[in-house]
Amino acid sequence: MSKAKSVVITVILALAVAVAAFFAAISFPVANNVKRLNSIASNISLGADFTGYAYATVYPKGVLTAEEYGTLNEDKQSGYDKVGGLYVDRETHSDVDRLKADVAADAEILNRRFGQKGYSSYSVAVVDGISIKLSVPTNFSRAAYLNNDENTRSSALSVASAALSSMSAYGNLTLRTTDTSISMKDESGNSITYDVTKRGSDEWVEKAQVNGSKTYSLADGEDAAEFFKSITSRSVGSNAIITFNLTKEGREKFYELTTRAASSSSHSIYFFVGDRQLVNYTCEEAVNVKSVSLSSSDAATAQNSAITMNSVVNGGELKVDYKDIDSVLTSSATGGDNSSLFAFIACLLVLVGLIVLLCVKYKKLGAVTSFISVIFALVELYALYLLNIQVTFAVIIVSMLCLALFVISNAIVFAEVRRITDGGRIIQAAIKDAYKNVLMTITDMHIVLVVVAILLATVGVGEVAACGLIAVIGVVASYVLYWFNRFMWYVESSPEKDKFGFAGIKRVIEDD
Amino acid sequence: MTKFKICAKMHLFIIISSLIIAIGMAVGTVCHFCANGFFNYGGEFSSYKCVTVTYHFSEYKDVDAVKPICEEALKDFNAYEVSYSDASNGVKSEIVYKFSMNTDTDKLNAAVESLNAKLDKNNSGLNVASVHEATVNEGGSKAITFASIALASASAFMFIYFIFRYKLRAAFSALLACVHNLGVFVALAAITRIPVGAEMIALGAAVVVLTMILSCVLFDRTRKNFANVKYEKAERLEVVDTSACETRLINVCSIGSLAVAVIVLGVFAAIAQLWIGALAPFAIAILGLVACFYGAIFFTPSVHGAIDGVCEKIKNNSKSTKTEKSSKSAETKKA
Repeated sequence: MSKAKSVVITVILALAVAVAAFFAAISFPVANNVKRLNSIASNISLGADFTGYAYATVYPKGVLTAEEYGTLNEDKQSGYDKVGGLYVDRETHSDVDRLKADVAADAEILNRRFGQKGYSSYSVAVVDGISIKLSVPTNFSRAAYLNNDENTRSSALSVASAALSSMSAYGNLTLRTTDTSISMKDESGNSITYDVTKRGSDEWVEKAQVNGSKTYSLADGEDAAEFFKSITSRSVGSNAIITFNLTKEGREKFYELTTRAASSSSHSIYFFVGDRQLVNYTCEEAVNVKSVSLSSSDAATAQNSAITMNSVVNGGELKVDYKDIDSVLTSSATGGDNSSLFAFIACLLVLVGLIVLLCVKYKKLGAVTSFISVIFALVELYALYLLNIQVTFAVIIVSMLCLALFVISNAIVFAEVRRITDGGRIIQAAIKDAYKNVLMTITDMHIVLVVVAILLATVGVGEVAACGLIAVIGVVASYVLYWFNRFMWYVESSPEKDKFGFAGIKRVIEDD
Repeated sequence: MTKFKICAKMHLFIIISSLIIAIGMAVGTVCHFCANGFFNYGGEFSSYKCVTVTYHFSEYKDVDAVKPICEEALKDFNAYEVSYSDASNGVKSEIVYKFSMNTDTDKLNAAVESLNAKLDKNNSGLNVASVHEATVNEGGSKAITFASIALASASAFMFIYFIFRYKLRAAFSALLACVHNLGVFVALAAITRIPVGAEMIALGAAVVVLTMILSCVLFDRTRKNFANVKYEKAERLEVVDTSACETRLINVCSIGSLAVAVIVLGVFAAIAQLWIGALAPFAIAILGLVACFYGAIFFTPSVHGAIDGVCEKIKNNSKSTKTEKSSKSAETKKA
């Protein structure tokens, strides 16, 4: 390759990398300081260590915080007992020990529910024995955490709030309608009217509402949990689906209910846990199947609803009546406000250290490999952003492991080149033979690791899945860039006269 | 000078590993019943005492107006984490000071009482501090289950792949190496009682992945050396030992550079948080690297050498039996 070609390729690549690195690391104001273009690094979703938790405390009815207690008059205050930092209404909860036992049991159930969400970290804590503090990662980017990106911040917060709210739903599962009466035809074709507000001869009205309308149980107040074996959710592309697997008895009951719902004016079955509506099923005809699938607005909502309802149908019904969550708070990062910035600087330092090490050991070839390592780091950074992978400490470690894989692969081939040149071969032949000799080693290593990474990404949940996903990208990038490094070695060393010196190899010329 | 042959010391390394794992399991089991669990659960799994300060923006315009009052009142108690909250409704907010469980509740209550007197400057009763005790439920069981399933299937795949690529004996050695390194890692975490959080699961997976990388490097070198004419007359154990020596530099460099990276990250995390406890996850990562280092340098080559030797013996025995049989049958035919 001529010197001119080599220079042109190098300059184009260097420019591309410089532009990518600029947008990856630098945030700057645009449109006369009206808007701010946040860097790729500051738009990556971060774990709780870097951006804190979204949390809410659920209090049983009849339990007050110190602040709420302070607003009561003395007469009312006398009706409360202090338990830890909270106040318990003696009338509502005469047996505090029983309340504590029930809250502890509910915390276990909530722990299992949140465990199924696949969060990188979450916490369910029993506070003073009588309330439950639920914390989930905010999933903010650094820009959102610093209030430089309001849209991302509010959407991430609403996702966390929705999870906290719907997964802490208490009470039993009921299937409801807003219709007070449903006109149907019996088997002989005679018109009959089903009065939904009556249970047998008793008249009753449910409290739960749908957009201001009262709702009534479609199943004569029966516990709908017995109708379902399990409730699951899955997302296919942008579609989220909730699947209800019915029991034998449930199938008959569901047929009966869908017959009623199909004849109703609303054509809807609302799935409620306690007073919280989780799913709306539009029903045009009677359904007699083993499992019912319905689509949901988004994957997170479908997952929240499915986990909560599945927990309820499998005996995970919360025992205590809780107050609704009035506000969701966000805490500061557990690692400190600037922990993400420090982590980024530390990663940069590691990269710089690696570059220095490579340049010292392999001279100009080390510089070429360093350049490819920078490309590798950029690929990982852009992948984290584009695939919306939540960055935690473990994800950073796995990214570094992938970088180590890339460097090890190249170190193996460089060692082989040295070994072959020690035998007296010229450098071009040595490179060719070395790459041929280690081809299977490198390929084996990458095949095993990519399969392992795919398994971790698909089977694992939460942080493990995130590590698996970034490992897939890292291993593939490592293999592709390994060959690109071979190409760049050829490009950069072509104009060089001392090709041994380029690779930091001292040629020993033995006298005859 | 006597050359120390790692492959000849298999028994020594098995004893060391067994001791580490046994001690780890014993410490973990004892702590499971007597202390706070098999591991010393920290991070999001640790229970704590806390002081929650609720303040209204109508009286304190921001956190900086409340913070000095709280810090003055709570300066005698070492809060290991201070969290400033943002409320979604924008009316009030919270500061949460977290303390270890053995903090004296009575003293804390007394301090909070005096803090409340200072906070409630307008006698509105809106700004209140209160002491709470939070017992955290250990989570992550689903993550552990699924990570175990993923790692088990990954190990199974590696085993099958290695059978085709490096023969059955190497596949066995690699599987043993993965189990060993993971066992040592878990044992070290249990012995050292370093607080573990949810990252432990992902780091366990990383240990297995790193073991696989290093196993590939060793077995490939061994295979090449077996095929090399130079080692045609050498003993198999010696060839494995030479291969281990040749790959040692790569192992040391890669694990060393990862350790340096972890230390750099740890130092920056400690600076960012100004708290030594921030180093816990990094210390766990270092334990993982120690397990990988010991496994890759000492345990795997020695065990692989032994397994290879046993397999070769069985192969030779069956060969000689076959030859004996065939020579006997030839003799019988002649007779």
